[in-house]
Amino acid sequence: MKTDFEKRYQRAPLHRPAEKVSARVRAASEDLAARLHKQPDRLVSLPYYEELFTTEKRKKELQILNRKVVGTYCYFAPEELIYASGDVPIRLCSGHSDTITTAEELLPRDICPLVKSSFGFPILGDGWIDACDVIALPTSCDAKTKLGEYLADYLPVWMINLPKIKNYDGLKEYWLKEIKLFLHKLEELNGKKVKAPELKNALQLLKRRAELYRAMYELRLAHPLLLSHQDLLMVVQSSFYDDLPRWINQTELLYNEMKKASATGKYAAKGKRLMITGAPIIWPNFKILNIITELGSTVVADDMCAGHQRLWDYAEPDEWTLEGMLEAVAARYIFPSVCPCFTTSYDRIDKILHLAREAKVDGVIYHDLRLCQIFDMEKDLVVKVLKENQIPVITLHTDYGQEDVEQLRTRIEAFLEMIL
Amino acid sequence: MITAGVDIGSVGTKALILEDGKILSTEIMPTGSRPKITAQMVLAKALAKVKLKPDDVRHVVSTGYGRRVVDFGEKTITEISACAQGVKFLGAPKGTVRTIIDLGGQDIKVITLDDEGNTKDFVMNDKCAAGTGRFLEVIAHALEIELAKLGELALQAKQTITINATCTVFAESEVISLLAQDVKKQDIIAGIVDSIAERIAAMSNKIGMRPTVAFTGGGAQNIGLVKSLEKKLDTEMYIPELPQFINALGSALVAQRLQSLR
Amino acid sequence: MHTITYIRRGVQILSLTFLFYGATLLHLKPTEIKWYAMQENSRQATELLYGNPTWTQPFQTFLPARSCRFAGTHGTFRGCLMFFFSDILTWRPPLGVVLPSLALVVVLMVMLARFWCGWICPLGFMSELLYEARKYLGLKRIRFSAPLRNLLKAVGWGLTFIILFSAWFISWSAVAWSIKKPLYLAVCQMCPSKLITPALTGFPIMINLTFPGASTTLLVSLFVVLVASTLLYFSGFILKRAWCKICPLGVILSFFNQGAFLSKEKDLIRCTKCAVCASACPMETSTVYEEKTKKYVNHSQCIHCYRCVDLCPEKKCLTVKFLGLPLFKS
Ligand code: SF4
Ligand code: SF4
Ligand code: SF4
Ligand code: SF4
Repeated sequence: MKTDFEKRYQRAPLHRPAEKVSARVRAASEDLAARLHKQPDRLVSLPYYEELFTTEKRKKELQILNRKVVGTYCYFAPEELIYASGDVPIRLCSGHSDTITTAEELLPRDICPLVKSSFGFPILGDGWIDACDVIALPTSCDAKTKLGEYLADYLPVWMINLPKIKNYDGLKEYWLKEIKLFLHKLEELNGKKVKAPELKNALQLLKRRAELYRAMYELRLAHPLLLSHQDLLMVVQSSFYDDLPRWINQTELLYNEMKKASATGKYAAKGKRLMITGAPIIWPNFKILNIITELGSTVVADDMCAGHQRLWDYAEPDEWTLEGMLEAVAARYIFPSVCPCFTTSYDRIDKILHLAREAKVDGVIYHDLRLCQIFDMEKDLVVKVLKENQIPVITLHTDYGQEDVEQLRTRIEAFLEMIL
Repeated sequence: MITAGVDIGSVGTKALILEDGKILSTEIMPTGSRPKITAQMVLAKALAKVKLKPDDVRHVVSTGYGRRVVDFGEKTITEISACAQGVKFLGAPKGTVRTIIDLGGQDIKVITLDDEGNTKDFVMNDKCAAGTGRFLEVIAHALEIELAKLGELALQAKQTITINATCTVFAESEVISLLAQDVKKQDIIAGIVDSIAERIAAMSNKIGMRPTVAFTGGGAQNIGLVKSLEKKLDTEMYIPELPQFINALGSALVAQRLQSLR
Repeated sequence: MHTITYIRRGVQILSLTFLFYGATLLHLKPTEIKWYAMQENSRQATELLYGNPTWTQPFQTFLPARSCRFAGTHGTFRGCLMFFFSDILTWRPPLGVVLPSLALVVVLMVMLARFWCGWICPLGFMSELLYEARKYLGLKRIRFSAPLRNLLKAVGWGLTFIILFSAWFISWSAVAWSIKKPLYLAVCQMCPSKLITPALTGFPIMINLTFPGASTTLLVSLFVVLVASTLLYFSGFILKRAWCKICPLGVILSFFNQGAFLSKEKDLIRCTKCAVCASACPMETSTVYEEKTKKYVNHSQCIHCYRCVDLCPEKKCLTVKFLGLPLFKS
């Protein structure tokens, strides 16, 4: 299988299965699932999603499935194309803190926890990456850009050269070429060409997913506790792994249940209505959300690439020709993206303002992941604009570890006291 | 009516007894490893000083890092709100306080207040201890000097040296190497104090400091730091009489309000 | 789904039918249409009767769209706006005679601006049909690059200027007849509609490269332009609305786009900057996407097709308003 890394020099790839670490990883998921399970008045469609995190069922299914599995990172690896080729995308961004020490044997310490955490898995020979045939890695931030070379020691890696300047005329053509190149790689992998009807199916499937999410989002604006934000992120993030049509069916059930439950009127927000912005909060690193729940407030919105943003956008072609659809796919990943890896934060600020207003939030929590420079550098302006718009905001500078939970609690509690 | 505020900080635990807006007594002890017991002891001692029994106290409110471990408090508030409340209560001997700098054991907090004295915004240092009270303690230990004397000594410095206060551990080793170079202790202390002041000033400027600035917490007792910070911020600061007890005072005040609500 | 596009298609079909076949279908009373030529001695137009009567309304016989006179017997109008303007500039009739028609045409322009292009003009509609045929065949489209778009815009302006200027120029007595004759109604001589509309309505196509007493050089040059513009029109097969990018009537209408009664507004905060609108725009304008500080998003070349509004994925992000009343919402 082709890789973008033609080997001339090579690190010694580290393989270190460690049952202890793997057990801790499993325990972290199970603890969180158990915790979510105990929430009062929880909808009955939800445990389905927990299973994707706590059991190996789906992974086993993937391993016996006669389809190629493409591991992806970030928001930018075009799912439409992977589905159109008949392959399965799995997003490998991880929120486990337990694999970080393992990864640090190869990776430097001073890089973002998400990358370290994700890289722990190939070393352990555990997790979703085990089921992957190839990895598609966009060059979003510095750490992701360099991660490819490390991963190439374990699996074939395709880099996706992500542009950083959202300039419509220039970027459209350039990025479309990159998208076509990616399609070409997929076609080579599968030994068959992707045809317009297949791509159309994929686009429509993902549009259905987006519409379903949008409907859920709207329902949740009025009744936020239908799904606690932990549950919402769990649902969103389970779509990283699940079989898409099955996920859609299940989520339609969930949506119907939500609709019915909303009539009871007991799912109104408790305490303050908060919004979370900033670096991705990925299963099982839900500590901030858990603290907010414990303090009796409700998160009603987020703009994260592993949350709201992931399922919100879809490709809307002007014409359903192959070219037209590819253009739409290309546009969908770049232009509406609020990832801070692009040069300006303005689009993101607009998005935050919109969500904050629409969800009528009392305050915004800026989740600043330690050693993620891009979110950190955007923080100042985001905070300033929010304050100018009379939206209180607090920055939480933290990482995947649990040791600062008490300090975070103090900050969040003080923030809640402040916006009384 | 008598109320009490207990502030369980990371280094010291403080208690303050308040009767209708008058401070009856205060007490401070190192928090140690068993904050729950320490808190009980501090409160008991503070009460004993003015010959009161626990039953005389109507309400207790706890604050500080360990606020959730005590079992006698009826309510907990964060040290940020407590600090703002305390300062608001003390009035405005040097003009309306609009910014509070609080230097505690493991936190530096800068709080801005609106014209009514309510919290408008705040920043705290990250989980790193550089520049906090703990940091001063480590340096004092390395220099074999009592913590309380650091301030005085800093003022006696003849020359200024620059020390990096971004990491406690590295700053400590820097101090030790300076000692090896026969640099005077006073100068080193002045350098350390300057670097902390620098950090605090950066935080306050970032959040938009407005005078008058109040300086509270244990750090405010360090006269060297006060002077250095005043120079950096270019403003005279208001230092309350019992700077470490402001948070305890704030929570005792909140306890009084509990009553009036009933 | 895509409601606006469907409504628009309906309106376009109706208007094409009405403009091109209205006289026949609705049994409107036909009168004579005159195919003029400049007469040397009388300084008058000679009526070269081709025997093609068409209906004349009491006053309004021109529309700010390609209601082409070459629709002949079946067509409803005497000509398009460009024809009307050229005629006025050449003959300078007493104001009283043309005022009712002129006033109405101006009102229609001011009110709807290039809405005429997007919804009424048969020529524009047919070029969209061409484009649909390409989609159906699955052939690849070509997008105009920004420089090419600017070039075409400049050409359109140039063409408009030449048309209007020549119409006025030939009214000077000092100008030689060999120049006057070929330049008479230069607008029609260069218009692709001159070839396309007759083909659809059965009107004979008239191309005369050796008109008595006229400069053959000029006649041939005009013919070359006609061929070029017709080719451009048919390139609309792969280049969306290619001709409309230079159409002189469009150029004139575009002056009214900013202040027209119809206006598109964008909720700047709701807009996710997804650029769906930019890629959907048949005129390849990207204002709707690119405007990030002002809520009015009316590009001068916008033909009010509202494809952008139709496809915009964000609810209530784009709104079309007529005198402040919302008509369509995304
Ligand atoms: S040929 Fe062109 S300019 Fe002349 S009337 Fe027809 S549409 Fe108008
Ligand atoms: S630009 Fe010209 S041809 Fe195109 S729609 Fe408008 S009037 Fe008709
Ligand atoms: S389609 Fe709508 S949301 Fe997208 S850029 Fe255009 S106006 Fe904005
Ligand atoms: S801007 Fe919108 S309404 Fe105007 S031409 Fe383009 S797609 Fe049509």
